[in-house]
Amino acid sequence: MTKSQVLFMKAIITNLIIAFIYSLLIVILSYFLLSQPLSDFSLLLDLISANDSTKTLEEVSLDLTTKNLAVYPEYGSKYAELSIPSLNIKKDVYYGDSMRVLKKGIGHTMGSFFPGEGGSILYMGHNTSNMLRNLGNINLNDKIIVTTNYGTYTYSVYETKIIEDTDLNEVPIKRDKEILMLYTCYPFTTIVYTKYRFVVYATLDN
Amino acid sequence: MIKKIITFILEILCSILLFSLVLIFIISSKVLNKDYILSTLNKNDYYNLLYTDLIEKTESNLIELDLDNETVKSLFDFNKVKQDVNSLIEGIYNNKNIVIDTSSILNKIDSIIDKRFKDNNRIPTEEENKNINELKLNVKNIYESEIMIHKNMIPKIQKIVSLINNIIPVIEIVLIVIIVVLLLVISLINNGVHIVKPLLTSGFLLIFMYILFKSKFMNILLLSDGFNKALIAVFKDIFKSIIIYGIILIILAISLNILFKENIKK
Repeated sequence: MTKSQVLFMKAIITNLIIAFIYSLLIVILSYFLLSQPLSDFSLLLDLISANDSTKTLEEVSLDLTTKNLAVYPEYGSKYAELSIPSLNIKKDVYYGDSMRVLKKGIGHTMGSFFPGEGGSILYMGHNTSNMLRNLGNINLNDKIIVTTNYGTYTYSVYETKIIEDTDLNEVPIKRDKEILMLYTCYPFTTIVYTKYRFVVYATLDN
Repeated sequence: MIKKIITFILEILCSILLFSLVLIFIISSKVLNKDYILSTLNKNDYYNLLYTDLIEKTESNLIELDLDNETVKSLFDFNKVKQDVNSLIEGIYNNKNIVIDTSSILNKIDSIIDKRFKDNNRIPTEEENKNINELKLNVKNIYESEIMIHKNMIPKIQKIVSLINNIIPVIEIVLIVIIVVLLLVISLINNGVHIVKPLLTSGFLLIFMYILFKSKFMNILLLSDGFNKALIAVFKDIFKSIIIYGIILIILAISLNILFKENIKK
């Protein structure tokens, strides 16, 4: 390499190093001067980003001491199966009651208790032909069986009622007794939205 | 000493402005380019995903009608959905009035409901008529919100896009002028061309930006699947351009260094 070539290389490398230092300086300066806006922006990005969680979903389980679920299901996930042998109904039960959930199966209303917790359980399903259209044919003392991975719970029907969708007193959420309330729209052959609901009340068998 | 300090400050300033100019150019050439947006939507299956979302949401709202999937699909024409989205984009970028016509969908619902009542040999009650109108309004709102996302935001977005479209060229010209002036001043102070360090620095800044920020934008989850996919594709393109321009600036700087023999002691 000639002397001028060496000088060329030296100049280029010097400029590269100086420019790299300049850019580091600018980044550090921006970090200090704009720390709050950058932090807010980073937080915003985290809030609207999907978390790449490697945490595996734990199975739903019941703590027998406290009679509360130790692990709750994820919203929208299936956690049980409901069957009414007398009506030949067998449907998946999902945690949540959004339109998306109700399209798939029976929805468990958030805020109500889970089977085994000793409180009121509120399930709902559409009155379509592939869901609960036959619910009106249920009789007193018919069995409703809810099978979860932490146990199978059998309930006996003791009452049915037709209520309005605003009659929240008719579907009370209480902890004193384990009652399963299953409801659907009424009349069963309604074509559009109806304000009436057909509710089945069933108590836990011992 | 003072000459060196002034040169240092001016070079830093020039680098920041050059970096900003390249960034503004990259973002505006993507985000403010209507054809780029339309082609991104096409490449990322936006229309299909939107159509699927639309069917799913409408199906949930029409569940009392107990319609099968094919009947729900027949309510919406895929080409009309695509056309409406394209009209929305055109309207936003060209500041035109946007009208989404849902009459054909509502007429189809009317026919389905009429047939259902005829099959049951009865006429709807007053309450049922009220509920039918509510159902049709729900479907109309679903369609409009799927196409427009936030109907009320559209006029604001149109104003912003129009404003940005007018301001960006001015900002770019102003930045170019300031950068040229700064380079001339630096060169005058140092009795020779002094362009390499600002070019190299802005190139490195672009590369730093790519390294520090790219991963933060790749996991964004906003609104629908289709919107999300298209948005991430835009971010990917922007970051790709950032790294390419960063490398180009560095190569350009080294070439100019050789050409103008900058910093080479004779």
